[in-house]
Amino acid sequence: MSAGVGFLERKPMGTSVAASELITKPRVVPINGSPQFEPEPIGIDSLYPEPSVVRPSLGHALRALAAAKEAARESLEALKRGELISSDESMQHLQALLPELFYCRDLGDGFGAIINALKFSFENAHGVPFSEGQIRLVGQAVERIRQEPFLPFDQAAELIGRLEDVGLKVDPAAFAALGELLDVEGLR
Amino acid sequence: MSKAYVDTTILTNVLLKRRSPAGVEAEAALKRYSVTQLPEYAVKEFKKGPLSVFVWLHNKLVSTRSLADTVAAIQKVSPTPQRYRVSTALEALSEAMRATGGQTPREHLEKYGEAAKTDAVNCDAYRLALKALIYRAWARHRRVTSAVVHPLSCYTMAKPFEEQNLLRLDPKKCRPQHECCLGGLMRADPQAMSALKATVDQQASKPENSRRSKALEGLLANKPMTEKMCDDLGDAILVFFAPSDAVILTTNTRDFEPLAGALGKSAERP
Repeated sequence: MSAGVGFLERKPMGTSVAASELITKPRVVPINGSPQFEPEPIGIDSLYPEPSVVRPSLGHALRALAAAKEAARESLEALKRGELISSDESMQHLQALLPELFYCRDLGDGFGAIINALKFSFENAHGVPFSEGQIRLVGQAVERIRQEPFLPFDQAAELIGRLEDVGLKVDPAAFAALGELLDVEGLR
Repeated sequence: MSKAYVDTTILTNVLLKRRSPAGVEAEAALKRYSVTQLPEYAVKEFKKGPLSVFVWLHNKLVSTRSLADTVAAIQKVSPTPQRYRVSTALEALSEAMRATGGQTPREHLEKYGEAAKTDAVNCDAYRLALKALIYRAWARHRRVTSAVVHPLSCYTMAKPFEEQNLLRLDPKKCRPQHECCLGGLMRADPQAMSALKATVDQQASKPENSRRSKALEGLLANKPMTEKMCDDLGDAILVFFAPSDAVILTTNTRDFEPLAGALGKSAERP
């Protein structure tokens, strides 16, 4: 008998049975007793084996994010070996994926804001290679939106704040000019 | 022990101008003091003023879906005498946008459609960056000083929220039961009120000072403090509540110094 399905517990013929015992009682099987139970959260790749069916941009995004994650990992590996050029090359590869990833921003503002912040971080660095801590956090940000492409905006903003805290300049350079607007009396 | 009482201008520079020299200066100034206090009144002013400007800009980008139209809208609302300052700011913005422009490859247009068009990309890049900045600023505002002081019981500190893709900052106004929660505390010290009013009346004649003087007059006449009076008092409230052993940290020393001096307190620029 398959586990988890309610069944009637039978008694030998002739045994007296109380009326209440005739009521079918489902046998409760703990979820972790099920052969299908997986203690780990379901990964994005199992959740969306064919993401393009859900939304075409999800398919593009997940493929590009997997490549971006790999690029960040390779960059860190190269850094450990002391291969600075190779490390930066991997990050250049990651940077090149960002414009196309930004086209997938219909997945949500949380997704779009993180890709945007990464794009501006590279632009504002003007080619100066990222530090190890910065690469690590970029990799973590990429993996976070790969796992949670529909990330709520306040969580995305918090993640962007962490990128900013490691010294990445996540806002457009033109925002310095926006600050000027705040000093204009009458606009406030 | 050095103590600073932080006003709205410093809070704004730290939260919204982090990359500019003003933001860097403000952050450095805060580190010079062992204790830094942020009154909730400054947070209320920040939300009603500078943060509202950024929210308005964000919402303009949402509604126009165009950078060019947004830039035109900013020029329309800017006051004539200061239009040149606004123009300078906008030129810098436009320049940066042109730099990030460029042509979208045809295969990308075919694959992603509208979302890949240069205008849409630029508009969304600025909209999302603004939105993230607004959320980050709100999330950080209670962490920039060692303490947030003088809570406003009649004001709800609600975080920004989204409604039909537009950002909202409500409530921006207080909801006093009978009067503003600061009214009774201020009326209890008529001597300080008189000193502040005398100083305001000696300051340059500008609408802000006339409104402040009128509000102080109302308090001296034992009138209950309305929401409007609370707004009009502005700097006078911050000076009144600043602890006497603290320096008022502000970029606007021109207005603050005389007021602080009237109560034997001091104001300093970063």
